[in-house]
Amino acid sequence: MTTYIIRRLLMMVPVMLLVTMVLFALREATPGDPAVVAIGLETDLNRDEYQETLRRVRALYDLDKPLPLQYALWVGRAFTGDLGRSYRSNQPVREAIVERMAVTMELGMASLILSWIIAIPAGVIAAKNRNKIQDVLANFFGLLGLSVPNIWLAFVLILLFSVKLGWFPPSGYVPFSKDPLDNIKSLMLPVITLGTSAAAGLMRLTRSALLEVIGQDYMRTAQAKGLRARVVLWRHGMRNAMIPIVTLIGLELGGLLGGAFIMEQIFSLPGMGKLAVDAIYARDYPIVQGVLLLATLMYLFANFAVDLVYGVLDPRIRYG
Amino acid sequence: MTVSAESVLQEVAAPPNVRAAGLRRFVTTFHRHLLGMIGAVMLALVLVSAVFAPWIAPYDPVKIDPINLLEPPSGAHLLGTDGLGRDVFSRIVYGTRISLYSGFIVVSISMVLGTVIGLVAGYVGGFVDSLLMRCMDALLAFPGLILALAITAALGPSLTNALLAIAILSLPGAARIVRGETLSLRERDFVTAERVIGGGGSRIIFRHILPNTLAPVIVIASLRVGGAVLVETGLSFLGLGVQPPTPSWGSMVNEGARFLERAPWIAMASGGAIFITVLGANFVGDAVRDILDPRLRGQ
Repeated sequence: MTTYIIRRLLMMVPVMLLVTMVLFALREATPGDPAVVAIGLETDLNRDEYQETLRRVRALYDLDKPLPLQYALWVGRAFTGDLGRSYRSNQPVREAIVERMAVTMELGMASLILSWIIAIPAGVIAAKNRNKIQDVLANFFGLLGLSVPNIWLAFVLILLFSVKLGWFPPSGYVPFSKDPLDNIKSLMLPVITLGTSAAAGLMRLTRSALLEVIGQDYMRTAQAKGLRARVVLWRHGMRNAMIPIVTLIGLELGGLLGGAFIMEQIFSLPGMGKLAVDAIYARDYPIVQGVLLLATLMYLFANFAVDLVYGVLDPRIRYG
Repeated sequence: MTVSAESVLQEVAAPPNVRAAGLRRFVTTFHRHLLGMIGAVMLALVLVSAVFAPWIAPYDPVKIDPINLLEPPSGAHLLGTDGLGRDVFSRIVYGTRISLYSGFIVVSISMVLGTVIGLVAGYVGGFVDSLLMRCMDALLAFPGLILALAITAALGPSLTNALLAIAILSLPGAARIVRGETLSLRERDFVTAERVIGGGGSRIIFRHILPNTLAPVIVIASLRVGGAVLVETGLSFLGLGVQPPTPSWGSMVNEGARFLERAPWIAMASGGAIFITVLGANFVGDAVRDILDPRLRGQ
């Protein structure tokens, strides 16, 4: 097991290196001189002073060094947690991300949990009542959920619950430490939007995974042994159906992260996504680089966790 | 020996008339699939508006009309006007072009390249196979929308760049399935028979293996269209896709968001257009899967 974990972690190294190379290459492909971006347009410096400032800024951000060295410096520092400084505010990138990470994590986790609460029972009920009304309804709402654009659903919810009913704020964020109730209220609409759309795919998969298991011999054996239907369904059925479900949860995290970025924009939540999109417009590349690097790392670790969960679900899977 | 090998080929490799019969059977089965037919009609409507946009749209989609700002839906403006007085209905009609283009680009690039990679990996095997499949695994490690964001951040907001990124990230799906099918097809009798009568690698791949991998590829392709349209709307919504004044549904939802209380019809109508298109694509995708590949049901 330990060997497996170490090997699996080592396998992530080339992928992360590839990610850093892509992000670095993209910065190089960005038109314009980053040092000019960093100084900004409004300066009252004369020509010589401007050139001198350019030189100092280049040195500050390592832009005067050869490209391979710049890359090595950036990766080396990123490894120690130093992601450089913003071109605009000169704030350390790590600090800017840490300030906003909690919002994105809270939004993402709450949406993920909501999608489980909806999808897994709905998928089980649909599979248990195959081709009956429950199944048809579940399929109908599943397809609906897959097809509703997040951005649209968000605005329908705002119109209904903020504008018409006034139950939840249409935008803004209240930290949990400040007021737990307002915190939940401020995240309610984005979490419903993301959670329900993530639930649709998960429900469809739960249903089909369970349907595949229900026909198996060991299910009939369990029934024949006289086990209660509930035990047969959950201990014998769901446990075997969980592998594809858990895999999809890992893969969906990427979609959820992307969705969270869009929700943060719609609901003006000060999260990582808002930080990144604002930085794209401001051409503040160190921030963009930092957020994307961290987002990819989070995604990789989530899928690593999924691989470990396989062994818990199915002891026949041996890590060796 | 030669004779029996040829008869095996005749039987299994599906000569053109057998394939035509297969297509006819597909069409008849599809006709009986209610949701599939509803989806096909919805998609057909979208396709017609894309092709005949100049004839269907009553107004010029980018023409600004300062007198009629934020007009509610009426006889003159079916879906009202936006913040610049432009006709929302005409903009939606033209917007179908961007959405269909996005769906087409992403799906066709990822399916064609993915199939080629899968065929080569599965047929050649060995080192080439492991190399290609490890590259596919690495692609799976990137969260899609986030890489598209990175690319638009660097190369400037451009729909084509973002779509290319998404297409490349969707390669592994098709590549893995085609590789799996190729591995098993490679060992089948009709391939051995082709080898016995002297058929070369390219003939085996194109005449015997490729046609037999098409069904699962068509199934994934049809299931992917809706997702591709959604990704485009997401990027355009963030202002990183199509640039104004070109009408795109995602950017229309974004513009409509600013007038959500005064003029909800802008965001609602453009969002509804996305919804109808994606729902139609998903109906068709589900139907194609039900008919061609019962094993994938529910995915």
